[in-house]
Amino acid sequence: MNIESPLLAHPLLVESLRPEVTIIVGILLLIIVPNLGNATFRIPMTQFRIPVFLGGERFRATSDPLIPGVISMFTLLLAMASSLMTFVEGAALSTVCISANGAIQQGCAGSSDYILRSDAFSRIFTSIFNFALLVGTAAMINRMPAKADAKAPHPDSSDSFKARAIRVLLNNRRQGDFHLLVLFVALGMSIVALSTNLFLLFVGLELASLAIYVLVAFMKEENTSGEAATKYFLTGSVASAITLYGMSLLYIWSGSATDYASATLNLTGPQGLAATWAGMETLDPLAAIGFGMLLVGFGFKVSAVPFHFAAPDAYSGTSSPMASILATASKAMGFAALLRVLVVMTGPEFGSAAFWLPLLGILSVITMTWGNLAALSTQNPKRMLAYSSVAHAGYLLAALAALGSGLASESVNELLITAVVFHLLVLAFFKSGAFLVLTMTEIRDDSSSMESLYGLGRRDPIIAVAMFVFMLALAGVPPLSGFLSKFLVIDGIISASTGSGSISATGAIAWLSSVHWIFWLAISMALNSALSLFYYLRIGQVMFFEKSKSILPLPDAPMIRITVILCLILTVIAGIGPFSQTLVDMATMAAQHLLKV
Amino acid sequence: MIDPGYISGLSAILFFIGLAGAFTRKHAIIVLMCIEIMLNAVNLNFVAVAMQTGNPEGWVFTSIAIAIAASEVAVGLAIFLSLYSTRETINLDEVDLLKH
Repeated sequence: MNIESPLLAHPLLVESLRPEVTIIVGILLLIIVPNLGNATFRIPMTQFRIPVFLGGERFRATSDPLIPGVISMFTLLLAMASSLMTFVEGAALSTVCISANGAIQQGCAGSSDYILRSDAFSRIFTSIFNFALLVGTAAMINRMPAKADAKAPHPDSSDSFKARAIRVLLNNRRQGDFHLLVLFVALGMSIVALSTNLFLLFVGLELASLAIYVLVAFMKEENTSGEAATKYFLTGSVASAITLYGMSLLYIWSGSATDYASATLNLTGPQGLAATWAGMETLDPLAAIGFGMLLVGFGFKVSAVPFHFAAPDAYSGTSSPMASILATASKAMGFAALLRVLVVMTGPEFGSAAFWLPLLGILSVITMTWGNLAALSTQNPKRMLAYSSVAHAGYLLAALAALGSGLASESVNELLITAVVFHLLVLAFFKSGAFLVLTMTEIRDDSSSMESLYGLGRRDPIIAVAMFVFMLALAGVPPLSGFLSKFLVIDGIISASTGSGSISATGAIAWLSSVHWIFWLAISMALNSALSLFYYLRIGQVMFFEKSKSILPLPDAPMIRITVILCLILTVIAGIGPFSQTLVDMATMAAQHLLKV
Repeated sequence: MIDPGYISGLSAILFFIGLAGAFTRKHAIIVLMCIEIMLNAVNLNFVAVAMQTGNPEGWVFTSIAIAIAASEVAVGLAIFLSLYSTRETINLDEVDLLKH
């Protein structure tokens, strides 16, 4: 391998990876700023002391516990803004590819052997990740407040006072840790969205997952968080070990297909996995097994059914801001990886079905039905939202199955990917909004039973109305954004499948029996949406018509309040009007870039 | 030189031992060890390809995978410790507060 150009000095590198560079700078700031102090270094054998400013007695101004939160919010905001800049600059300008030998290229025309690709597809996902993490961070700032003037309790004070004072001190101490971990999650997820090399994708996936496992266990004084994290960690690491084994099988397969010297985990390129896959005449069992194992890890991240068991426990055991990150950012990461691999590597030729079509089709129906039925029967609002997130994964898998049927034309494929991306985008608005409302009830009370929402309409009408709108959006009621995204998915599936029905069929029954079975995925989605209305509306019913146990108003949590209102506005305007058109256009651009690879 | 096919075969055996252990064992640390066995099976596969070709990529993958496995153990043990401090057990059958 020869280095073609000095990679680090290349101006395009920083320019194309602005969001990631921002996050890395933020991580460094978070490590350095709270540790600035008056330490000095004495030159050996002399009396001279040089101030090094790192360590020693910390400066008052920079060791303020509020600072990590501010740094983290600004970093995520900047990273999100610079991700969105891609869409302002236009498509051709902002596609940049970096290959393993250090070549970096704008437009990606000649170089097809790249490992990182910054285009509209990766940038829309980094925007989603940064937005979702920003919302979670904002909520955590009120959930785990930092107090600048906290003091150690007097030894003679009462036990309950002591416990409260120690809690405040503990919260101050772990501010830096929490925000550092959130930024690591952001970095790992961005790598997943950018990479076109499977091993690099795995490294990003693990960087994000390991930080997420710690974050799930973060409120360690609470009874359930250790348990939630243990379950999530064990299932998650089994899933990622299976994924990595699948990758190693694909590596062997890509070598055995040629002469081993060109074994690679690159998706693109003349000897990449996509080319090897396309050149395969019959399905090689090694490739099929490797690919199937790859899907296990991604299935776990999106909480599709056979791998969803840890998700409800993790969501209900951890703090609500973390649950919102799991349900939006982590799920979007799973789908980013899934889309890249399914579309780029094993995308079917027009007219022939992909071999994973039956697998994904059946899983999607089971996932959405199981999620909705389990959500109907639970009494815990956090668990209910977790199962609803399982159901939403099912809807999106249905779109992927339609993509794999090979029936759809180029433009319908584009519509299906647009629908998936748009759904993940708007999910970050209303799903995190709903978890933020639960955070508000969780600060003083707990949110593990429906009773915590009783009478919310009287205690805090604005928040209750916002929660109700989030529920309607999750259920997919027009004109909210949840409706538009579901409509796009159903529209895509139907336009992919109706062409397959026999034109000469007389009557509806004959037509229905002749149409390709993915048409029934759309029917199943519609039925499931109707089913899900029951439990979403139940939240509205308990908020407005049940008598509250407590008459106290909700805690005064300004950050959460602002973020909930912001999410409410975005949920409404992303469903109808010019803003929704902008978002759909962005998602379409992402879909075009993905299909062009 | 050993035939890389044998190495891949050993890797498959190790992987399924790890997988079976991870699903049947009840002690959290033993489950973690089973996950480590699975990750090491992967390393053997990468090494087998690297041996066959002399392509350094396989060695690079292996060393990164070892680093990832190490950090996974660190995170896992920390999580088990926090579980133990609230529950005084890390037997997975006794950890059942989150059922509904």
